[in-house]
Amino acid sequence: MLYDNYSRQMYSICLRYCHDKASAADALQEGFIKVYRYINTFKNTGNLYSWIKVIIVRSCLDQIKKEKANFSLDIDHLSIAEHNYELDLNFDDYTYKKILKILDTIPPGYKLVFSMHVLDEMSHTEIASILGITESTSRTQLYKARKLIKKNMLNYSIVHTNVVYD
Amino acid sequence: MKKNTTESKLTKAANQQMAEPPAFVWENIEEELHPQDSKRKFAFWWFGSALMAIIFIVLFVNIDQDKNRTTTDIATSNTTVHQKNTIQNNQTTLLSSNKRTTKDLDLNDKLTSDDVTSDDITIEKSIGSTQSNRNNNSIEKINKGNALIATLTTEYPDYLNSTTSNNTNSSRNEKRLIAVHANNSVISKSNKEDRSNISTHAITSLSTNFLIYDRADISYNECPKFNKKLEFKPFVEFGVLGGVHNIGLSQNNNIHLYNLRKNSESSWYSTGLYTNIGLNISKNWHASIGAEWTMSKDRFESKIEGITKMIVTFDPANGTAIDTSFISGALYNKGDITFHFIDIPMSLGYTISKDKWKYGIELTGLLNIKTFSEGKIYNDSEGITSIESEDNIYKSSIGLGLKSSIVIARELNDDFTLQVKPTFKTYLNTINNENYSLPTKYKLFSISIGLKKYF
Repeated sequence: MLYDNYSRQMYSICLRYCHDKASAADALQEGFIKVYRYINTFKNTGNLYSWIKVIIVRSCLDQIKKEKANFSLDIDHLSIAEHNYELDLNFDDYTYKKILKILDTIPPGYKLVFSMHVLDEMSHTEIASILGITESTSRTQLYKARKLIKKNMLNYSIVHTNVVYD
Repeated sequence: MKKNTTESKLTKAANQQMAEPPAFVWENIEEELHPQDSKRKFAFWWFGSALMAIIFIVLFVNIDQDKNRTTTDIATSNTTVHQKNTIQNNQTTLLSSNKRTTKDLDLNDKLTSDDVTSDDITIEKSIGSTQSNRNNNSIEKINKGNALIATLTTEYPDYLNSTTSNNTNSSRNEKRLIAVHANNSVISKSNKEDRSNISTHAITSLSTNFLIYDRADISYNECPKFNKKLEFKPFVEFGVLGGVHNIGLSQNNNIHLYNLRKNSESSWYSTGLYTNIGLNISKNWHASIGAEWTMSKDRFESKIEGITKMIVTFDPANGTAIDTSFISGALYNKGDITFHFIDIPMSLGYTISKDKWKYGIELTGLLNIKTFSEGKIYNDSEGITSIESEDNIYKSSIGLGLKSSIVIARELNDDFTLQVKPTFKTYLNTINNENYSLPTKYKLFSISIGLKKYF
């Protein structure tokens, strides 16, 4: 069954986007209701997992907006050359959970775009469509997110090292 | 936009993350996706709740009416009401201090038949710890789930603190009624002037769900009756019947056909099956509706005497007759006639109980919904034919009928009753078609044997 096959992965995504388990469960529920209602529109040629994931992420964002009435992304419109968007981050020394902790330290807008693009493999077109921003803004956010993450990783390493050697 | 290798690893790690969602998520999704089921469930519970509410109201009204009646009865005899105590057996402290109560209990006293109750008791009590507060307000009826349930420690604290010295005056020639209730039944009751020692066993051996009912200074006639409450007890009954019937023909200006049929048809036997569902609407009355199939068989035998048969034997070689012989005798034509009646019986019965036996009567209105018949018969042309080929002889549905029964039943256990019912049944209409020349009535005397299952 669809739910049995995908609910665990999707709930994991929901947990990443939402603030607590209750919100994540609500988002998952609303997301799967949409999945079942619109499953007829899914084209077999596509990737079902990706299709469901987009719906779930949208559902998570709806949930966040619902909980925070004044939710808005702090998005500035930096114009950066395309080649500057790619920053070489080295995650090799970090576990997935550590990365998530570092993600929590950056502004929500950056985190959101980074999660959607890097973790959930969404294109800037999709992100722009979901968040109601331009593709250019999405790219800018991603650039800033990477920059901040790199900086915070460095801080995390120092703190971590201090803890170890204290 | 391309991702670096490290980010790809992160993506892969993210995709591998799994967490078990709470079970209610799927339940909510199902609920949302299948609102019809939900509506059906709602309708089911709504209907169930409404039914329960109606039953509750009926029972409540019934209990309330009973309560009013009983209270009035007691109030009129209030001048003689002095004391009643209700004690739970697990209150050992109270029992040991209340000597009057413990003295008056006699387990060997049996209920009279009028007082016999089963699991359905109404009883009243009055509580007054002192002479001054014995008034109508202290009279109270207990009828809680047909069990006597009261906790003195919480409901009547005054009584606990009082002594029993003013309960009764031993010098009076007083009559007393004592009943012990266990498992919702009166198991012992006495009405006596002397005070024999109580068997402590009577108290200690009883289960905790009982009360001792003690009423002093009331004559026996004024003692409360332990009548059965009005109850609605559904039942199903099914059984078989066997008997004899009569197909009554009237001459009606067709004497020849009448004689032919009268002489050729004779009643044989009847049998059948029945099932009813019903309700005991009181201790004595019951009503039911069901279905009944009855099969009645007649014998057909036509005999024509004085028949002579001539037999001519021919020579096969030349075809000339070589022998002629005559045989004389009677010509017989035999067969069966079968009637099938399918009725819907609606019954109202009244029975009285004596120990495990029940006797009574039952009146039943019948609606015949289908009748069919087969076999040999003389038709209007006075020829022998089959009933099936003649569509003008018998009706396919007769209409209304009546049935009266005597009911003799024996309780096998709490659930099952075996019953025998001698029954007389007749249809109000004739069973023949309107255009048939001989009006025909049907009567049946049968004995049915069945089982009744109570719920």
